[in-house]
Amino acid sequence: MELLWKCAALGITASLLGLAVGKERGEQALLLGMAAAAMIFVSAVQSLGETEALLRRAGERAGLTSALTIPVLKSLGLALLGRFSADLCRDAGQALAAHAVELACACAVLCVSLPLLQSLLQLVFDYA
Amino acid sequence: MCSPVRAAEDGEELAEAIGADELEETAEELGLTEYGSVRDGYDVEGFLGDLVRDTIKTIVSPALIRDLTGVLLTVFLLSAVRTVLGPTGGSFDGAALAGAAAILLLLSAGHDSMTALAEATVCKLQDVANALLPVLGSAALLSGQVTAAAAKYSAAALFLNVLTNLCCTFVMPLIRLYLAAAAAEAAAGGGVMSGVLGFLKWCGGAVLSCLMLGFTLYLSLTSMASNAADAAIVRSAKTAVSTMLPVVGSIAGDAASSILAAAAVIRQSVGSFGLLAVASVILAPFIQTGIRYLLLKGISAISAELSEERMARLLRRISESMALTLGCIGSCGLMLYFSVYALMRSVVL
Repeated sequence: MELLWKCAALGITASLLGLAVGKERGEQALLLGMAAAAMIFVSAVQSLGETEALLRRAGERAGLTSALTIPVLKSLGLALLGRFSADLCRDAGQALAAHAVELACACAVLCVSLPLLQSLLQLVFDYA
Repeated sequence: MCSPVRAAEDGEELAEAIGADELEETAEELGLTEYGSVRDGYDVEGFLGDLVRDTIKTIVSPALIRDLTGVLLTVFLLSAVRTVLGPTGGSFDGAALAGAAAILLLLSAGHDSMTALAEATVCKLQDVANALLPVLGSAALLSGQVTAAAAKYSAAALFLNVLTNLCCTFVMPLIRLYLAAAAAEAAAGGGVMSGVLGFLKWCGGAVLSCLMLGFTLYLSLTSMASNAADAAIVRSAKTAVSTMLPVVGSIAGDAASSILAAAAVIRQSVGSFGLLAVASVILAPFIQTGIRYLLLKGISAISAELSEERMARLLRRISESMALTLGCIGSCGLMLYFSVYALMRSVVL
């Protein structure tokens, strides 16, 4: 809850400052917005650490192997990071860079999921 | 006065002759020895009570908790991230694909997966049938069901053999193929494989239904025709022996009756063993698979509500494959039940 207040305050302040300086110095307003967004994102992700630890503990208690849980958690984290980075690029008016970031993120998710897909294929080959 | 004693002695010899010792070994493997023996009969009520109690205890198995936790965590994580990102493709679809792969691996790989469990159950049922049916058939034959025993035994052995072989060599691979197609559907998104999946499901169901229908029809027809014939043969043989031999005829008739009575007692005892053995083999896997099926159906509905349609469809497909697995276990168990019951039915004298 405290984190949410801080993030909200930071976001609103950055937006107001951006509006104030945006008319004369657009680049500075953009940099200000990006910096605020990055700070909020990092804070949010740090708060997810506790949730991630809880999920891992629950998985271990239930007997889930890390080979199954880690790729899913990593790919979800990558999806969030990719979306955030692409939105930043779009805000800066760089649509091509945004697409490139999304492509890179999809490739990274695929790389992370490869062990799972490999095991799935192995399962299919074992059936045959 | 001597008839009960003679029947008991005859029973012991008959039990030895028809191979009850081998059946006792199977009973030992299944843990049925504490409830009686093939010769003395079984405490059916005590066994069923203990079986139900043990099965209820094993319902919440570690494998079930693991599978349930894995599926729930994946579905809720994906739904949470989907809510944050909104309706989006690209990298999130990759993450959803990883989640789908993880769920599929969790539920269908390993020695305690549902297909492995079903295969083990079908094999165990085949072993029980191999030990039980010849003994029950011989007992039925000795108790006067000359025509019916041969017809019923051959039908039961043939159909059960065909069914268990089909389950292991056709239906189980079909279920795995179904799961592979479901994985492909989850990867591609949308309902691209629905036609193939529907056909595979229909194939599995049709094979099981046809075999069960054929078996019950054959059994009903042979029972109707042969039971009456056997009863007539036994009755006329007894009358002929009693009337043709003036003094010894009645003694010979009594001896034949005591053998028939001993065989009937053994048949009932072996039959009750068969019913208990089938129950002990199929009850736990059937209930475990059934519970997984119901839970997956529930999670699939929750997932659809959480706007995670890809996961919902995958879980629905997996639960449908579990329904086929249930069909396999259930039809094998039912066929063995019907066979035992048909061979247990006595000749009306």
